[in-house]
Amino acid sequence: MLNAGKTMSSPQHPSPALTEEAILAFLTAHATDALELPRADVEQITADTRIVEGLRLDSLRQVVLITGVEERFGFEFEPEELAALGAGGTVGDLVRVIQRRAGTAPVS
Amino acid sequence: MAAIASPGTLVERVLALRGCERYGARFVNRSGAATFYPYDAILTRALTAAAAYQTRGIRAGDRIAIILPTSVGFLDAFLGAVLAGAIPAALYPPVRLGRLDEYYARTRDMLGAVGTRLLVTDARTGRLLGRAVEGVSSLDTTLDVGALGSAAAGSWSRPHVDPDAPAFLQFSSGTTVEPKAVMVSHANALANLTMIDTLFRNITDAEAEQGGVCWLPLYHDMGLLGCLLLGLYHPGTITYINPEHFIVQPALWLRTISRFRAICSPAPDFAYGVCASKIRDEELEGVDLSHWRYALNGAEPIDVETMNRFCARFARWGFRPEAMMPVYGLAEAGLAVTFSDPATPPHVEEFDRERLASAGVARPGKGRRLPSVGRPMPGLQIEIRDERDRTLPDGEVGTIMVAGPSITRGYFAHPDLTAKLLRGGWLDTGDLGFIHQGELYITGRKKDLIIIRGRNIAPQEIEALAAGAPGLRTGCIIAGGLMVEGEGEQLIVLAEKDPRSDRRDEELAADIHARILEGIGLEPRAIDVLKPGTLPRTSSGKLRRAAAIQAFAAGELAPPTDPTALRLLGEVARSQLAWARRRFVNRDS
Repeated sequence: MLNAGKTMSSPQHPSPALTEEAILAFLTAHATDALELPRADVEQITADTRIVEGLRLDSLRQVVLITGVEERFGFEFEPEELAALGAGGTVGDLVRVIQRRAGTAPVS
Repeated sequence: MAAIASPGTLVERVLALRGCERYGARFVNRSGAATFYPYDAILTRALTAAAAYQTRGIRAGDRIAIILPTSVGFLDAFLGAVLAGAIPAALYPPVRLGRLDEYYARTRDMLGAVGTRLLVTDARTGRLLGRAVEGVSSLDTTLDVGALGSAAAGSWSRPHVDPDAPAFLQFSSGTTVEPKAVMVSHANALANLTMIDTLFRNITDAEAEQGGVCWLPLYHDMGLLGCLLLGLYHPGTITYINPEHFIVQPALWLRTISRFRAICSPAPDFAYGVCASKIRDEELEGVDLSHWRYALNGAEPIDVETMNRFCARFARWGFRPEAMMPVYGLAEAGLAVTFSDPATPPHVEEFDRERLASAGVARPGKGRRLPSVGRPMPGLQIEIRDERDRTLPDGEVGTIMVAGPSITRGYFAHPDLTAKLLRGGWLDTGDLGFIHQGELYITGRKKDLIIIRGRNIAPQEIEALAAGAPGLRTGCIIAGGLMVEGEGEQLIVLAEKDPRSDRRDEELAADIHARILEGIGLEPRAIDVLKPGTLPRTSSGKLRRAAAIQAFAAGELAPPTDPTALRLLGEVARSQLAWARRRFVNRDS
């Protein structure tokens, strides 16, 4: 089970699809299925886990994570958001970006 | 469609596309929707772009950098530059996640190294490039690719272009230490295209229409010359897939080959491995790969096991083992140096590992299976030389030297590096290999270069990232590539710890790991934190990278009592740190 941790903020616009839990559930499944992280490793992930280092995202896995999130939540990351997430951003930061952006722009 | 004899420059070849409606460039998006541009339309767009460059003051010989995704806009920017007589250089886009500082530094150095006057990009990428273009004194402006469509095509004035002038620049590795760009002249490019085209000389018009599929990045030599320019040269249709879409959905590659019945599609070793292990059967419903005649396999060391797995796995979908073609090449030679026989399955020989390793002699035996990369392209010569530049007989390992009309005149504005690269008309490839029964086998690399997933990386770049971790001895870090059977070339980092540091070895290793992953998007396969003085050096005190990596592979680097990250495998506890430590040892556990 992915631990949401204590630093997570609640969604600004709560809706069934956009709860913290829903996002984390997706990220957990995605980390296991698409990123192919061992289950034991996924269990270690918290909101404070750094994205690139913590999810072991080499350049290929970065693409897989980003594309998976974009397809699932229906928006396209801005380059600046990715730059911020990549520079030591955490899983909690990613959840907040998703909560802010989900459904805001269709993916081409 | 038959090749016209001896054209002077790429300008003529691009202009010859006038009226070509049957073949073209096709772009397939993530969901499979295809957009087709006949080459006649591609030419019109390129002329418009060329005119747009000229109205902005671009003259023959000016350098234009291009940072664009695979798209018709890339062709506009690149071919427009060629028609303007300018010299395009395609650079790689920023990594999607990860630290941009390193990207900015590398890009700034590359732009500066070739005296870039104009940078063409798109709006999204351009927003990130601000800091990369700061302080590049040669740069006039950054241009959105959309602006290339606004000039009147008729206003293009044909430049005078010398066949021996660079047609484009190909960066061979993106290092902050010394970015160097291979000058590929018009004559070089055309000579190599003529050689590659011997594969396609006898294909039918229908087969040219089926054409090729390319998901390779167009800033990579195999994508640029081996797909884009080859498609124009022959001509034949090329279907392009964005590299990112291949990464997310490898089945898209095979489905696209099947859908258009493509006869040719090249890729590096890792891509064949990704397909063999990640594609699910249900993703290939209705797929037929029997038209795929040339599955060229190059741009990085070829893993026999991976190649065999691919052939076995996709036989069910009509893939024929004789389609798999190990090849060898490098941008410094135009591209292609050797091709294996397109009519037979890959030729794999097993050699005596011991004699190969200790004496550099290739004798049939046990231990080291190597794929033949075939015979020299028509018009190229290959010699194997020893350290004193003497030609070696067949079966002895030495430096692979190449001569012929597609060999570069050198690196742009780097006479010092060019002098090391070219000796008496021969290109020193920096690769090691031997000839056995007329065919070339690659055994390793003399030059310090890491090749992962077809991407060339200077070890200094990795070492500089690692050096940011506090607690290491200055200048005592080695990065290198190690061929692991079944996994391809893997990144190894060896670092000596500063004895004054109180950081734990595994903490240091985790720090190095994070810096490399975030800095360049590569995950080291192993990080070894060593006691001072462990790394082998020359008598003058310089680190010996190849020797260090070999010693590491043989387990002879550190004293057995040394508690390195590698030897802590057994005591993994379920903590964050333990997890971090374990993955340096075995990513599959």
